[in-house]
Amino acid sequence: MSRFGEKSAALVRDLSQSERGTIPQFADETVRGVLDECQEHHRSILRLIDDIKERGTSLEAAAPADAASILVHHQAVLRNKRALLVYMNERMRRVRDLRWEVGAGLPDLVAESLSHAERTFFTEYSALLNKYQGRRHGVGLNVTLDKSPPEDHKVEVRALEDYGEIVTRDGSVELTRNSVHLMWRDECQPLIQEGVLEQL
Amino acid sequence: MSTRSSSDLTHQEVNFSAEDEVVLVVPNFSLQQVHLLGGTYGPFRPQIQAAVPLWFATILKKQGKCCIIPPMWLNVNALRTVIETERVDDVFQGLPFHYIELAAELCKHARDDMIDWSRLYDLVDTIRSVRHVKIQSGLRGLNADALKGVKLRHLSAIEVNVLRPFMSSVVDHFLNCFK
Amino acid sequence: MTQPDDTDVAKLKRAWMNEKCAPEILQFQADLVARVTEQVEHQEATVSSARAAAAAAGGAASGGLDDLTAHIMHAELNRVRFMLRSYYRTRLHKIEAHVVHVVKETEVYEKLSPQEQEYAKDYANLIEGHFGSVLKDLPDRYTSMLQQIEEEDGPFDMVAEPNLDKHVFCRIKEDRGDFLLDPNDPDPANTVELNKGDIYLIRYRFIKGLLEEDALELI
Repeated sequence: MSRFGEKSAALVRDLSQSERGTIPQFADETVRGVLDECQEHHRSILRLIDDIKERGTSLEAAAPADAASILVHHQAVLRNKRALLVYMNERMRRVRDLRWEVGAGLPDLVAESLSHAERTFFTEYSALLNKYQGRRHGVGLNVTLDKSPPEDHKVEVRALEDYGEIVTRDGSVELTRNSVHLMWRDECQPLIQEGVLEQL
Repeated sequence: MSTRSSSDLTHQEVNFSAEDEVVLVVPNFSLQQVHLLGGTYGPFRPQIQAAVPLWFATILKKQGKCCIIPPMWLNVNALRTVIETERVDDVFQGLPFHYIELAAELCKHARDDMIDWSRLYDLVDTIRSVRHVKIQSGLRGLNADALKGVKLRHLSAIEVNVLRPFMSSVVDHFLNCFK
Repeated sequence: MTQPDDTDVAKLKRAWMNEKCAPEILQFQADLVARVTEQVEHQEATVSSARAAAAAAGGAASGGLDDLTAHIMHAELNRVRFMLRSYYRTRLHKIEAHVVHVVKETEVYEKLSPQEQEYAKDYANLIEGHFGSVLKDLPDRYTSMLQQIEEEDGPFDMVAEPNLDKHVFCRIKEDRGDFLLDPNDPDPANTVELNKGDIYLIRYRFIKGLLEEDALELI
């Protein structure tokens, strides 16, 4: 066994050093390693308990050295567990934020970095939010829009695809790939989020 | 990437909040009453003063449809008096809760309606820094009584928001020491 | 001078600000939100029918609303929709942050709207499954998401709760004279004088009740 807790500390450290908002490759091997380490600690605990019992001593009356050994292994498992949860929780938070930033479709590039469980989480979280936002069972409002207060002005945007005609406050606009338009900020915001337009 | 992870009030949101403050405008057009969810405004007649929220006034102003009358406190003499008293007095002078945002917004969109807008802008900035220094020295004087609440009469919206991340966590830690 | 403060929009603004600044989730303002939603939909219809009429008339003002009025109504709608969304969002964020606490404590759970209650339950299940996918491979009795080590009747020592001792900024809305900070500690030295207009930085726990009584607002 490597030094206690070394792998789990690396998990947390690597994630905390990664750029905010990015999701590094899921460290499957290290996570497995930490889990194995925990099982090994657990076997040590059981072995120590067996030894004590074999000597005909009750656990309460165990020699201080034996009791301390058990405690150290136990604490090592708890520490690893904490680190695993920190790792998973922080990644989950970033996956969740993705739903608010890019919408219901998981970009392929990001999907490759996620574990199977994380991809499932994204899909189910997305469904959960859709249900909350829905007209029938929810509040009937897309709550991922308007993340910052409205500003009443126009912005310059470029269409990234042939989207077709849309109707705005100023009349209808034909969005063809690479066409540039001056649009009200609130009207183009949803299309920017969908990736139909980019702000110049 | 995400603005969502933090639920703290942003400066943009404080600005947004300030845009509900009511200002006086002098329109150059005629319009019947406008029934908004937040109140009814108008009727508007040329050269007749009307009170509208700042966001409303800004729309009119951008379309060249009105002059905005700067509020009473936003003039050189009044601000100078505030600076003088602010320097000698322990307490904060009574300024509108959104004085910083109002001044900034008016200096941005309605500078042609103000006499010497850049001077006004500088004076407000001076007030802001004088008050900031006062807040700093006030922080040094904090003691265990702070745990019963720190009274900050006349502190303004932006000042609250600037202080918040620092000051509330300082007092939070302070409390933990006494627990 | 501010806008009239007795409109539903003004009340929504206050509810939104309070929600943004409070460490715990507050009572959902069901009636208020329903009224504002209805007003927004009604106003949206007014604006869009005016626009449609104007478009049909070749851009000339018609339908009883001129361009300027429509523009201003539209701008206000954007403001109100922003507050509504931000209000919903802030609440979802708090639910996610303390989901197990929210679902387990009846008195907290009851502060949520029916949609939020659904959301909280589903989200709690979702994260239990997600963490479970890894925790299940830990040794026996270490696999719980709620306890460091499973113990029947043991405390849930891994459940995050809002910090009610957090310090918040508030503005007093009505004179309350000498206010006793902590009812469990009726020492007269532990009172603070609250007058209308005062601004305080104060422990949330102390003023939670006053916030519920609408005697102050968080800023």
